[in-house]
Amino acid sequence: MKAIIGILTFLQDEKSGRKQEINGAFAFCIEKAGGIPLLLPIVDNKEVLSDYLDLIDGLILVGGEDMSPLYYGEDPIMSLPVGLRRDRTEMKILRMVQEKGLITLGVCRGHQVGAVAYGASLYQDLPKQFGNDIAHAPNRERGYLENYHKISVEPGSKLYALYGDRLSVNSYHHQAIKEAGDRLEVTARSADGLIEAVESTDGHFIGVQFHPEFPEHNRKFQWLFDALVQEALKRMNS
Amino acid sequence: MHPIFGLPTQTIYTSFRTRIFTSDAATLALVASGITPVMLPPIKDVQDRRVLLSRIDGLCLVQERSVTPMLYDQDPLVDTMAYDLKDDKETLEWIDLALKMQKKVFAFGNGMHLLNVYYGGNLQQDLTRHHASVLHSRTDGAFVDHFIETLEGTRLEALLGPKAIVNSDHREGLDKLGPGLIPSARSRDGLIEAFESEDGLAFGFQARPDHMKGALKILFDFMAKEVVQ
Repeated sequence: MKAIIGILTFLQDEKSGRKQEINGAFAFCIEKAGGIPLLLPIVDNKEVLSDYLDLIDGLILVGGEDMSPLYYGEDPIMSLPVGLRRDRTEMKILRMVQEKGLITLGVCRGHQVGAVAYGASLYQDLPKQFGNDIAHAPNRERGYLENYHKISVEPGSKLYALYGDRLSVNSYHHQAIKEAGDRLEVTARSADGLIEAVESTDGHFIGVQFHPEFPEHNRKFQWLFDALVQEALKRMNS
Repeated sequence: MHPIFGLPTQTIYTSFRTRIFTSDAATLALVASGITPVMLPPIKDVQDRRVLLSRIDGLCLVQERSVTPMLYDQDPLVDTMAYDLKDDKETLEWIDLALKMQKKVFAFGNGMHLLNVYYGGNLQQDLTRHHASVLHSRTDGAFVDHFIETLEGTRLEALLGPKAIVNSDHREGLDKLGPGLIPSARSRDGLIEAFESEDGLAFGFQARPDHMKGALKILFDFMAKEVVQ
């Protein structure tokens, strides 16, 4: 028996029409981990999302545009590239997976949205509100995700069990978690103190600010997908 | 639980990621007919594909790119539109497994062309060279509309009546239907615009779901009802 891991897509506007899309690397990493990837279109409809949850054993939320600050009770401080349809869909499914107890991995934006669903707030504009000592969003022209920095991992966390106390990560994000709230444990920070990973106290959500779907940047990234599939299998069998 | 249809994806390779996608308009049109759409990525393990197919009710093909001409034994014309052999082979594998598992396959636009090729049929690559009497596409990219006439005794006739107006934006068209398929509608210049399989598992329709309201809503409603039965 294999675990089916649902991967929620993002919306991409193109001349030929809007696409439901993912980076195929997510599907390849899940397959490599021994799971079966299934892609779930962004559909803001509770019944459809409920069908999704009946099909899958674990969930991944991927990266993308900024989240609307309305979800953590703030007005926007600047013009943000938000997409409310995706925000609504992801917040709905996150509340549903919390109830159902499905293991969920949030990556970059997915980590931020997942955290907000557990009561966190975000920096709307990292360079302006937090500073830029570490290049969290390196210039795309000069290498996109290739700009590594280190994160320190908290002992006792799931992430620590995988990686120990230090991990080199890639980085490409405009927002980040500001206040994690009391339903999340902060499990990693960069040297400038920014929250780089969280785990929910109910044990269902893991969020990472970096992009593990690029295992060519660090071969250890694959271990996160391996752990996700193993956890989904464990829950299927319990 | 709604009927669940799987949409085989298409791929574009860029310098830093492999984009896997399907049409948003098609997914929304399916939802409007009470269908839950999921997307099927390329998967190597046949058993894994079977697991996914066993959990869903059918396939819906909404491919946007042309079918690779070599798959129906033709060389591409000098101005052939974009195609992707790897994607086509991937989708053909999904079709093959789905039909063997007695799942229904509904195909639209270029997806319908690929379904015909799966059955052993072929295509005309450039309708302007063969079928000039009805306009099937415009050079400025805008859609045209034209009549189709359904064939007596087909499921499509029961759904649409003797004739319907459909949208149209295609350079390729069906030529010979594969064995096991019967035409269910033609445009007035004789081009096959829809087909059904004799065993009732496969349905093809030339019009595009993301640019059509009336007739296609009926077809998506039909898809939902067919798999519930």
